[in-house]
Amino acid sequence: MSEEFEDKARALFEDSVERLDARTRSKLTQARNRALDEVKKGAVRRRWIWAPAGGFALAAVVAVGIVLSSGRTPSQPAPTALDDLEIVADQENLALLQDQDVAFYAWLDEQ
Amino acid sequence: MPASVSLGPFAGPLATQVFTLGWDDGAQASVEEPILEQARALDRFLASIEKRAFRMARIALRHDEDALDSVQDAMLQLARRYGRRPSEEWRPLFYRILQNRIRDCQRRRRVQARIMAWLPGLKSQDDAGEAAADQYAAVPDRAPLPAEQLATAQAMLALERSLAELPGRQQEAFMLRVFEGLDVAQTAAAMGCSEGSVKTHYSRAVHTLREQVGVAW
Repeated sequence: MSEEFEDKARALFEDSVERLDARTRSKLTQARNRALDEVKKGAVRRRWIWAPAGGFALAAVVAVGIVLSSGRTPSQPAPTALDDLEIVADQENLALLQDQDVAFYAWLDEQ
Repeated sequence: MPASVSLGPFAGPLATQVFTLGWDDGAQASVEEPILEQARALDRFLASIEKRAFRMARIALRHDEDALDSVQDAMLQLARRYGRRPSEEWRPLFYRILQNRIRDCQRRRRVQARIMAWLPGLKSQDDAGEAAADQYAAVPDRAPLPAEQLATAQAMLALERSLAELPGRQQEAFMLRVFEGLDVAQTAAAMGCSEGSVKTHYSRAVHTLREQVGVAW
C-alpha cells in the first residue's frame, strides 16, 4: 500500500518535471553555466596563488645549483676582512709581533 | 632560462620538468585537463538534477523566482566550495545547500510578513506592483488539456498542496526519499540529522499525505 502510494507520487512528480516550461529550463541552463564558470575561474585563481611560491622555489633551486657547481661548500667559508681584524685585535698576536725583531723581518721581506 | 647556467647535480629530467612547467603548452594542457574534466562532470551532474531540484524548491516555496534563485545559489555554492570533492558526494551536498537556501527564503518571508503587518501602506503598494507584473497570470489558458493530462495535473496539485502543509523536516524527508530517490543515509547527510530522524520524519509524512491525498487519487 505504502509502496504503491510512493510510486504514484514519484510518477506524478516526474511527469511535472517533464512538463517544465521552456523559460524555466532556459533559466536553469543559465544558472548551471554560471556555476561552471565559477569552477573555471576558481581553477585559474588557484593556479596564480601558487605562482609566487613556484617562483621562490625556482630561485632557490637555481641558487643551490650555482653554489654547488662552484665547488665551495658552506663548511669552508672564504676568509673575510673580519678574520683579518680578529688577528690584528688579538692581544697575544700583538705581543708576539712586538717581541720579534721588526727590522729583521723588513730585511727578510726585501730579499 | 639561459643555457650557459650550470645546474650541476640538478641538471636532468627533473630540472627540465620544473623549468618548463607553465611555459610549455603540453605541460599547461596537462594541468588544465583535470579542471576541464571536473567541469564536465559537474555539468553532467547539475544537468541531471536541476529540473527536479527546481520542482522541489517550487513545491516548498510556492514561487517560481524564489525557487530559481535557490537552485542557482545551491549550484554556485556547490561549484565554489565542493567542486573538487568526489562526485559521489555532490548529490547529498547539493540538496543540503538547497534545503538551507529554502529555509533562508522562508525565514526571510516570515520577517517580511511581520514587517508588512506593521506597515499596511507598504503592503498595498507591494501587492499592486505584483499584480501589475503578473497581469497575464490570471488569463485562462485557451489550449484545453487532454482529460488524462488534466487528471494528472490535478493529482499533482493535490499532492503539492498537501506537501506544502507538512512541517518542513517531514516535507524534506519525503521529497528527498521519494522524488530524488536518496537512501536513508544520503537523506540524513542532506538534512544534517540522524538516520533515525529521517525514518521518523518520512514515516509521518507518508502517513499524513496518504490520509489527505489518497482519497483524492
